[in-house]
Amino acid sequence: MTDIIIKTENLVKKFPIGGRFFTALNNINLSFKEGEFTGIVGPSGSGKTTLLNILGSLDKPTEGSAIVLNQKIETLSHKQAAKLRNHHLGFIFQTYNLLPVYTVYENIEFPLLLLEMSASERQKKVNQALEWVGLTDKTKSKPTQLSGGESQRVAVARAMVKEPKIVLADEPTANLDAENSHNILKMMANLNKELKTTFIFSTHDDKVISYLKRKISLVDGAVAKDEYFTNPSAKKE
Amino acid sequence: MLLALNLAFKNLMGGRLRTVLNILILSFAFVIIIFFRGIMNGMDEQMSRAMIDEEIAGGQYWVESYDPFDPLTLDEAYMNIPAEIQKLINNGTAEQILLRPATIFPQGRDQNVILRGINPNQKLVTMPTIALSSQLEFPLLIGKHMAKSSGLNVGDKIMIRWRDKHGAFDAKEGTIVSIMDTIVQTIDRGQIWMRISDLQELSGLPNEATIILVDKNVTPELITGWTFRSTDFLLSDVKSLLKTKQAGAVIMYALLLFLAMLAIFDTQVLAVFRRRKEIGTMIAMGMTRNRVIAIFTIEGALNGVFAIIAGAIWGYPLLRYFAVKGMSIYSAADDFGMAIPDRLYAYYSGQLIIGTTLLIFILVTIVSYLPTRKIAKLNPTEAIRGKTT
Repeated sequence: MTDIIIKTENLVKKFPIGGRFFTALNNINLSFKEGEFTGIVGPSGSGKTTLLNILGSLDKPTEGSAIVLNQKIETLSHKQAAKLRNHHLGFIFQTYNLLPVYTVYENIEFPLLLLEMSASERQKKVNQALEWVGLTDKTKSKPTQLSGGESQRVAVARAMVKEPKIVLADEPTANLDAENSHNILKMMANLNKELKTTFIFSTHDDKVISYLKRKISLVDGAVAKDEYFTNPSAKKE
Repeated sequence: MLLALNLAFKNLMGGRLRTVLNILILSFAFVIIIFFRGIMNGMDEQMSRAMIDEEIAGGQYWVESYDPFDPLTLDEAYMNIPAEIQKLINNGTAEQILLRPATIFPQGRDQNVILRGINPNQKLVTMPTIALSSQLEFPLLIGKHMAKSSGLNVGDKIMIRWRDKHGAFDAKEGTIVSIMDTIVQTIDRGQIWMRISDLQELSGLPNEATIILVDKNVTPELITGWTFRSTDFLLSDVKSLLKTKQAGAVIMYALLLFLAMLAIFDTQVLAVFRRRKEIGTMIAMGMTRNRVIAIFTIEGALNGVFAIIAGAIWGYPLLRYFAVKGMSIYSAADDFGMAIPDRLYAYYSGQLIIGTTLLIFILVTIVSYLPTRKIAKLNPTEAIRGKTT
């Protein structure tokens, strides 16, 4: 039996705009099980990124609750939230967000340094992550020397190196061409399969959608549709 | 901490020209502050040493009525040498000086002076009093500033008029036998040195003195009618004058530091603004805001560390040159408001180096920290996308 690792209950997020409030998420009730490969899809402004931010403990709900790995996001202090992200969450961003002064190796190693892992363990894990994403020959390159696809692979390796329970990817293929998008998605699908890591994407890219096991459609901050696909690989063929 | 240092170092290196400029400005301020304070310290050292060597000795007994700032007290500022002091004089650990007001008439004008009688063979101060052992009838010794202001040279004869202890005027022509090169103003300007035996005789004050110099090994005793003045007391005027000069220099240090700190502050503000995506990413990866603030603060503080290292590299030869070779300030020496040597040798104490280093480091750290407080208020979801709210 698979466990529910993320759950939202009547989740509402409002942002003050001018003298009024804009409701970005409206009464979201969702649950995610371990090992899911889920996409939150919807047009711009539908609340995808806001939902990911809350699930990633980078933001807090205005009302309702978001429970991630048995921790209520709305009650976490900055420090507790940082600890949750540090130990259990990986992030992949649309613009890669690699640390520009670090090499590929150092960028991937960074989350492990935050976990205060020993040097030998770090080396082992970074090399493993580099193999996952096929960048063993680029260890000494700086982010400015990488293509978009390579940069995103580094970002994936950085998110995965600590083998987190959950990876949150915000539009991971938005800046990539079709070939690179497929490469990245295949890689993430493999990691999901091998490591049982839960992947949650926010996307409106059809290429991503074709790899999903589950698709949650958001419209105007509310869940419009929640679909499961039994054979995503067949779908993408 | 190592992670923070490593990241801060790499970011600093990535800053290239901006980092180089910051470090240069900061190291310039660092070296200049040490240099000027070193010169002031050197001046203090040289003047204190010169005063002790040439004027003060190990301390002085003053006749109670003597006040160097009140010339009117001079007429009565003398006293018979007590037995305790005579004993010291006899064994060479004390020397008597008699002070009398007088007038000289150099180049047809009159000039008030103080006659100072001293034992020509004294060994307590390094004044060239031995010149007063001349076979001439009435030999006189003056300092170079006195010689300059009154237009006197060695061999010149000068008429001196004084009053004896009864107030009767008397006059006599003396001969300048030597001009001493001294930076101690109080034994130079307006002072004429002569044999104490001559002055005691001319004033009708045998065995009387105004000041008694004592050797540094003499333990001061309470002597009726005399007050002991320690070297600290006798140097206090010069020290406070130097402090005033140093206070003026502080304005320059403050301006220099302000410019350097402005550069650091500006860099930090820019860094927080330009690197907000990086900040957001670090927070997303599990760094606490305080840790991110620490990284940025360390990065700024490293500017100070590198500036200190850079300052030590380029500043050391310069500072050493001025400590060893000195700096000629001959033209400024007379206008300084106090006697200063023609050549100043900088003196850098450990306290000065450590104090200035710490000052720079603490200021840079504070200035680096201030703009980073903004990180605490940064919304990570906005920062990740490179936006600010």
